[in-house]
Formats: sequence, structure tokens, C-alpha cells
Amino acid sequence: MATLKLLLITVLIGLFFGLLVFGPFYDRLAVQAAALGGVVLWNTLRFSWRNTLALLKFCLPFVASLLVFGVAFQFFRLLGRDDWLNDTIIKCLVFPSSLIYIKILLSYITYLDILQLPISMKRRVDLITMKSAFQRGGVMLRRFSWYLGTYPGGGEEGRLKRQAKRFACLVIALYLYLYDEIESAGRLLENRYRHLGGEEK
Amino acid sequence: MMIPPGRYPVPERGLDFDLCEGLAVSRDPVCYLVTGDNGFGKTTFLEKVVIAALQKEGRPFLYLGQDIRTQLYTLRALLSVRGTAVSGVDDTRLIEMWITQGGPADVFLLDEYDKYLADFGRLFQHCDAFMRTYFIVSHLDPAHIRPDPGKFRLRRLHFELKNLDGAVKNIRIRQEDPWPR
Repeated sequence: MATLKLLLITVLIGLFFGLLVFGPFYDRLAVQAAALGGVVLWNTLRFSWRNTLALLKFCLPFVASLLVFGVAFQFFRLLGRDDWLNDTIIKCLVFPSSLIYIKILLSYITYLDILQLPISMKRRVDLITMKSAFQRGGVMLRRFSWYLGTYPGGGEEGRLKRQAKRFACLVIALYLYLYDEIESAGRLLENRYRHLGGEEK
Repeated sequence: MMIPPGRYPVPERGLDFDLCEGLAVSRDPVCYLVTGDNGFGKTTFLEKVVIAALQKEGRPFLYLGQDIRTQLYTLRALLSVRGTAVSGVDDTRLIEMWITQGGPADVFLLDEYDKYLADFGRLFQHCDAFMRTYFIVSHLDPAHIRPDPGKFRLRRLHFELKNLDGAVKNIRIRQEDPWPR
């Protein structure tokens, strides 16, 4: 059952990317806007409006920088192309919708599903560790962002540069956290499994 | 600046603070020791009232939160982005480096710093030249965590439960002087 569920989730992710990201509907603005609206609604129903807002807020710096480059390229008609803006707007819709879509689908995978997978215990421990760390990472992200907002300094820099640095800090802090968390959670799980008499590796 | 006396409701945390006396955050050195039972909102008061007021005034400050292990990731990231080598640097030194780079900050809020790193003396010594105001949340004996008593006016901010209004805790914050012994 768990294998079937995972298979279905993989197929759904594949379909999304096959149709909307790399497929025939990529350049259909209305379809992309509808897809984003759909995943936003789905996420709100599955989690909360607050969770959806936090996700959109997380995407904002990426989307904003995409837009800045898109507008600049359009203005200078880079490589003789005049469809930069249209292409950028599509990317600005695709990025958050694919991120939210994957997040929603992955949230349907439970720890029990992972335990029932026909793979070695070591692989199961790895998957459980990853799932746990990434789940906590979402919560940590908000706290990291709050802390970074309290730090002084950078007053002489422009607002954009300050924001870019803050965002870089956020990504590095999250990476450091996930690295530590995955390592220590993996060790803990493995020790407990051994303590309970697990032999299979 | 002054955080005026009055009510400070924080409904999302189920707390309503009644600050009996204003909190001066000026150039005159002062140390507030924040005390009270767990669950009375000491951290919430620091984060939602004091820090919010400092940010509104554009007053630079440093804050070491209770979840310092979490915060340390951001400090490592921040110092790295600023070009400071942090590889292999221990936590105390890391905090000192961050303080040194804190620029014009002269207000320091420490929320149960002692739970993680007990050496207040080293921290006070490091900040002696530029810190003017401390807010310190701690359950330790105050005698162990006071900065230079000859320089700092010492005040105690005591949190006590006034009453319960449904799910909301009404908390009175009294200032006490002299320093508790």
C-alpha cells in the first residue's frame, strides 16, 4: 500500500513537471496562473492560510529578483528577444506553484509509509531523518528570519544589498541547521534501532 | 527613549501585560533583571514589547534569545557573509565576534543566556566599553549576573500573575529597587 501511495505521488509530481514545467502548458500564462491559484487553495485547505502566506513570502525574494532581471532584459532587448517579460512572468508563477505542489504531495508521506517500504533499514532511517529534518526546517526558517531581522549593522548599505545579504544568511543558516539536524537525528535513530536489537543494515 | 507604563496585550500568546512603571532606555547605564515564574511571558515581553519598541525607534540592539542553539546558526551565517572566518570558532568566541560587529548597538537583551553559556563575567567585560542598557532574564542568583554595580543603575522587573481572564493571563510587571539581595 505504501509503495503504491509513493508511486502515485511520484506520478503526480512527474505529471505536474511533464505538463506545466517542461511540457506543453509551460508558456500558457492562464494555465500557470490557474495552477498557482489551485495549489495555493489546496495548501490553505490542507494546512492554513498562515502557512500559505509564509510559503509565498519565502518565494518572494526569488520571484522579485527574477522580475528585476526580466524587466532589465526586456528593456535592453537582450539577444534581440522581446519576450523576456512574458517568459519571466511565467517563471514567477511556475516557481512558487511547483514548490508548493511538491510540498503538499510530500506531506502525504507519513513515517509509517516509509517504514513499510521494501527497502533496507538503513535507507528507511535515512528517509525518516530527511523528512523529520525538513519538517523542522520549515519552522526554523521563520525563527531564523526573525533573528536576522533583529541584528544591527549594514546601515550604510542600500536596502536591496541589505536584503540580499539577509537572504543569503537565511539560506546558509538553514543549510547549517539541516546538516547538523540530519546528522544527529540519523545517529539517534540508528542507535535506538541497534539498542532494540535491529540487525538488518 | 522610554517604554511608557500601561497595558501591552499580546493576544496571540494569551498574555496581557500591565507595566506599572516606564522603562528608560537611555545613555544612562541601567541593568534590568527580569524575573518571575515560568509561563508569565518574560520572553514574550522582551520580543513583542521591548524589541518592538526598539525597532520602532530605530535603536540598534543585540538580543541573545533563549533558543540560543537555534540563533547560533544565524550568527555563523551572518559573520560568514560579512567575511569573518568562523570555522572552528567556539560558541562563546562566536558571540563575542558578533557583539564586536554589532556596530552602534548599546542595548543588550539576554534571555536565559546562562542556560547555555554560564560565563556572564566574560560577556560583561567584553561589552563594558559600549553597552548602556541590559535586559537580563535569568533564574540564577542575581549576584552572579550583575554588570559593574558601580556603573549600572540596577533595577528588577518582576513579573507576577494578577489574574486569569479566561485563557488570558493578566501579568503585572513591577519595578523594584534596590537590587534584590
